[in-house]
Amino acid sequence: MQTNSHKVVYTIYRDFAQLDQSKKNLILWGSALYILNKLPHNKTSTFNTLLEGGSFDQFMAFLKTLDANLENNIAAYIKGLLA
Amino acid sequence: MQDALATVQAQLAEKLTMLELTETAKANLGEHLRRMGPTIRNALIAGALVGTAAHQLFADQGQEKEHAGNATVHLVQPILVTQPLIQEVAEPTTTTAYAPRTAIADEVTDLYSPTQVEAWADASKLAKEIAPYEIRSENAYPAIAKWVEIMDFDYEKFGNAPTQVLIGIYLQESGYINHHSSTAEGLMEVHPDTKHGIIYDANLKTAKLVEICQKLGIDTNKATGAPKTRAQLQAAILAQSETDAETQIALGVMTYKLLLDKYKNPELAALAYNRPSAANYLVKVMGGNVDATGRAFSDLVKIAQNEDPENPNTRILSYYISIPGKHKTDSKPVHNMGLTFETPDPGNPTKIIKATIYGTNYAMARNSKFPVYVNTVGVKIFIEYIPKHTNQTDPDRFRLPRKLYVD
Repeated sequence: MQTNSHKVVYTIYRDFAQLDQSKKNLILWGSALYILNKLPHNKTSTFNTLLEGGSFDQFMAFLKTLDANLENNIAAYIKGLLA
Repeated sequence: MQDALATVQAQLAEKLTMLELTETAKANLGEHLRRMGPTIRNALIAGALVGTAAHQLFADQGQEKEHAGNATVHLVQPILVTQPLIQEVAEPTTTTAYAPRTAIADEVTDLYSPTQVEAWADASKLAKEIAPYEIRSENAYPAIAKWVEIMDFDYEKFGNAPTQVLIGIYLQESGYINHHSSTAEGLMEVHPDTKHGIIYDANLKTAKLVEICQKLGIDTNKATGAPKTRAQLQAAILAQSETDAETQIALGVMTYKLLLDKYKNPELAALAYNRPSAANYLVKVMGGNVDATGRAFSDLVKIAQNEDPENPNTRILSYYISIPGKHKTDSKPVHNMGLTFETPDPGNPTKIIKATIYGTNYAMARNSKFPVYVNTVGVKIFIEYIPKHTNQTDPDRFRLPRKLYVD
């Protein structure tokens, strides 16, 4: 019985260790799409300004104001795309 | 997959056009997203584990679904906070891109080539699957033993110190145990062949381990490459990662200040600042052996005390054993314990707060003055730990010296 769960976890890790390029692209582009879908109209100017000259940290801080649980929500979104 | 990709691409192109992003902005967006990539992948892995493995694990054991829900908490949290370890699994070819947070983890990483990623996967997997057995409790040893039994532990594959240390680091950083030597020792205890030594497997790149040990000031057996005693390995591990990551950073910053301001050594200070493992740099400063590390900590504390005119009157009021433990196999009465202190809140001296230290190692404490850095609710405390007695049932007999420093 334990061997089954052993294998499940193992397989998951191995799958992620061997992500092919299309999956990596899906993660990248899916993240972008999720973020852009989250972006309200009245924040587009701020978003643009941050992308033009802001740092990564500033960018992330801004995104967190839009979605505090950003990473996990993106992951859930991408999981749906991967399914 | 290709359909999903095409759909996402089309929607993304539409969005980008609508937003009228400049080329610079688009390029930077791509760059930022690439930096987010590992975090997203980790969250995906966590999700995958939670969605299948945790439930499967508990279902296999005939437990209720609620337990799987608890496992979710146990599994997700450590995964998300231990990105470096997971990263090695997710992207084995980028071993230098994401440095593990502790010095020894960094070194141990080098033991595994990308082609050995399965060993990493196994180590991480094992570490996570130990979670449901509540290693945080004082029943750590029975829990480990139980886990080993249930998991049909493969000693040929896992019964080696680097893997144990990996598991230990993972568990420590995940908060499941207070210092990872207890895991290594726990595993050694349940496997008689590893009781008296550390490294037996030549495939573990013994030379590399020797090199690591030498760096840490550990006296190794030249024939086998093993540290001569378990206590020495523990001492090294403790010196490197007794504290949690946050504390190490705090220690590193403090070390940086001391190196810069007191020792006028900007080169070492910059090194310490960039890679905040205080013990690592103190070893260098003090000459490179474990005993010196202990002395270095002590010196650091004293220096800090003397150079802290802002907090001259703060003191620890009391302290006692809060997590008494008994060593499983011999007469050592305390191996893994926590001490809880009451101390005035520096920001509000009339308020008494509690501070707790964990993972004080008996052998280390018995043989040396071992200052411990305590990071609690907004208070950072150095103490000098000198156990007076070993009767854990009498808290008063564990009276420690007055505090040395409160930040």
